[in-house]
Amino acid sequence: MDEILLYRRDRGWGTRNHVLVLPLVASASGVARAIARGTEAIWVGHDYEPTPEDLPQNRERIARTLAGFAANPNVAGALLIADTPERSALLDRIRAAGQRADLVVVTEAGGFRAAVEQGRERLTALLSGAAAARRERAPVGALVLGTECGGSDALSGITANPALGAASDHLVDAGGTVMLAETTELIGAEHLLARRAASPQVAEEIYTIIHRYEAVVRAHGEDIRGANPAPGNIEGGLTTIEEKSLGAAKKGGTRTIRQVVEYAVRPAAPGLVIMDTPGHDIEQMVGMVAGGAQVAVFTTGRGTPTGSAIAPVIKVATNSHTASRMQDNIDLNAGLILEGTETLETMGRRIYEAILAVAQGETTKAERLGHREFSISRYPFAVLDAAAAAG
Amino acid sequence: MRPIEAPPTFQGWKRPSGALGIRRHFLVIPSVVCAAQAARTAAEGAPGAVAIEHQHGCAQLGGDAHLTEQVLAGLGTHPNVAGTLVVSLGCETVQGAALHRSIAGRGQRAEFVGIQQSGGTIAAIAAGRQALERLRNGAASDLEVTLTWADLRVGIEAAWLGIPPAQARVFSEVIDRLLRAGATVMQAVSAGRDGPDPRWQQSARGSAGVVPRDATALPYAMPPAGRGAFFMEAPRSRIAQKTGLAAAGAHIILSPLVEGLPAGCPVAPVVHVGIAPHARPFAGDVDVMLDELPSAGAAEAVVAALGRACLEETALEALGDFEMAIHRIAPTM
Repeated sequence: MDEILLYRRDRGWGTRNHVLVLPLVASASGVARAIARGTEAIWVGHDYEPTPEDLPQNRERIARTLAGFAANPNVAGALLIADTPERSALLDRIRAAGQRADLVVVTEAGGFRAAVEQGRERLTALLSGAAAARRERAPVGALVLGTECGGSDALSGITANPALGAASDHLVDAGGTVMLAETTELIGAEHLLARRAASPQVAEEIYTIIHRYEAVVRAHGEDIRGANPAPGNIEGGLTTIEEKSLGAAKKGGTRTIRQVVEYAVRPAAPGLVIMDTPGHDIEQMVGMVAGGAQVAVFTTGRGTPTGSAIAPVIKVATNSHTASRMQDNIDLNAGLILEGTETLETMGRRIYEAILAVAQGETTKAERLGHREFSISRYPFAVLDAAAAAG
Repeated sequence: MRPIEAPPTFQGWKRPSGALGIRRHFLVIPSVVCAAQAARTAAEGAPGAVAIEHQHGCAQLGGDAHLTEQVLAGLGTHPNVAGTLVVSLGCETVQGAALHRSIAGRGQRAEFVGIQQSGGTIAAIAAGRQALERLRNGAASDLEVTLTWADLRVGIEAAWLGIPPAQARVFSEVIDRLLRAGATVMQAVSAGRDGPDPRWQQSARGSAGVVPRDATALPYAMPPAGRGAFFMEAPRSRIAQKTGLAAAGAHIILSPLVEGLPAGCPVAPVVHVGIAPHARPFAGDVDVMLDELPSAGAAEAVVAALGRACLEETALEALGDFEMAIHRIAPTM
């Protein structure tokens, strides 16, 4: 299948046709929820409140994430909710990216209730614009796939992750883009990834993002092992972060690593790319979607239910026990590889076919359950600067 | 402005732990962001149930994970909460079962549901609804009691430090009045990169000079050991301040609206005092508006608004509008 049916946008192809209500600060979340309530629009909330202590790099990182999320091709239109007029720069940025967007400034609207009324009117216009969109023929290569693993166990690196890797290879070969992320869960696998880098510069960048995370953890006087592997990973048979990483890195497949991008940055060209994100499942997913992923595959050993508000997330279990125990949440069972009824190759093919079917409108279990977790990663730039200064 | 009398007593409930509350919330706490959707859905349509949302509970470094756990346990044992349901995923850093034990261990009526244990989200939601019903049935036996100001803890956000003196004086007088009435006052003091806000020393003392000489320092989200005046070190985020004050057991929160938007809190009613000129557009949303030159009865009006909010639902509570932010001390891994 070389062509699939997607929504054409000015900035790429969408697998969904959502209208998003997005608060730009945490205290606007209540207004966003009240506007979206009872409509077909999707809203997300978050806990970011700007303070004078925020470093400019973090402000830019957060602005980039919000703008990228709202401009994702799965979104037909976005309504932004701001506290003050100064934040309208983000509206310009999202419109400049080719997105239909509008803004409600609560202080200008005249309070909470007035803002909700004004927001309802603007949302109605965005919703009717979205209703006119139809799927058209698009190349498979238009897809940007986010890969993720969460609640990993000892089988993650043996079944689901390498099977997803096979699917990633299929998509890269078809001209698509695959994102490998969660830098903290690549610690220990960096030398293997660097060998597959497209250039010495890309190899260098792979080492850089790993070393940065390690420096931050050291600067806090903590051990990464305290947070990773998590208690459930250990119960699931994972012993070290290196073991977890060697399994996690397999999700991206075996092709050349073309580029390393910062959190929530859109890759410049197709192929396999690494995005520098935390291992935190939600912050990672939001970063990939803000970077343009229109569909994601999430492997899980213990069974985690999370999804994305605007991108379909396909859940793949690493073992049959979790697949049956968490059947409300799991779409595919890579545990069949252990039972001998599937191989890595056939399972990889199944995942690839699921990606194409879901991209064309088949809903995932996370979508049906209404999952819309959202959290923005903040980077400890100050800690990093201090660590660098201390040598 | 004609001064409105603050009510001297309030209707409340005595919890099995001995805590005295002015609300009858059933709090649903996801121990980790991954359990938020199940928690929210379980709370939907359940009378009195409030689900909180947060983005944490996993991929956190040791000290930071501990702080999240402490905030969640503080909210779960809040006196306005008649029963707490912890919804856990099962593989997270802040383990839901331990959180449930710590909440129940402090005498709170508590239930636990694990998503991975139950067999997925749909099964967990069904189990959560049953657990909420058990909590409601249990809470029916909570004794109705009459409370006075001496039974209440009032949390005050830091934002009024640094407003013009005429308006700031109103807050000093409010603190004096509350302390004289016997209430416990917890004043948040934001600590920037250079340490606690020095303006606290100058302006937060109250006209009678009671605070801060006798005020005791409290770490973020830590309940005070006794009654009186306390100041709590808190981050700049107003929402994280509210969460910290609530986790420390504030029955009610006083929020000076100097910047940004009004925001609520899941377990404690929030009284907004609009500071002109910023808050003028929010005249319909705030409880009291402080003009540039406040009237003589302004402090009394603020105390009266606090008293009213103890007695009846606030406008924000009716809208179900609340936000959550937990202070973080380390980056996510």
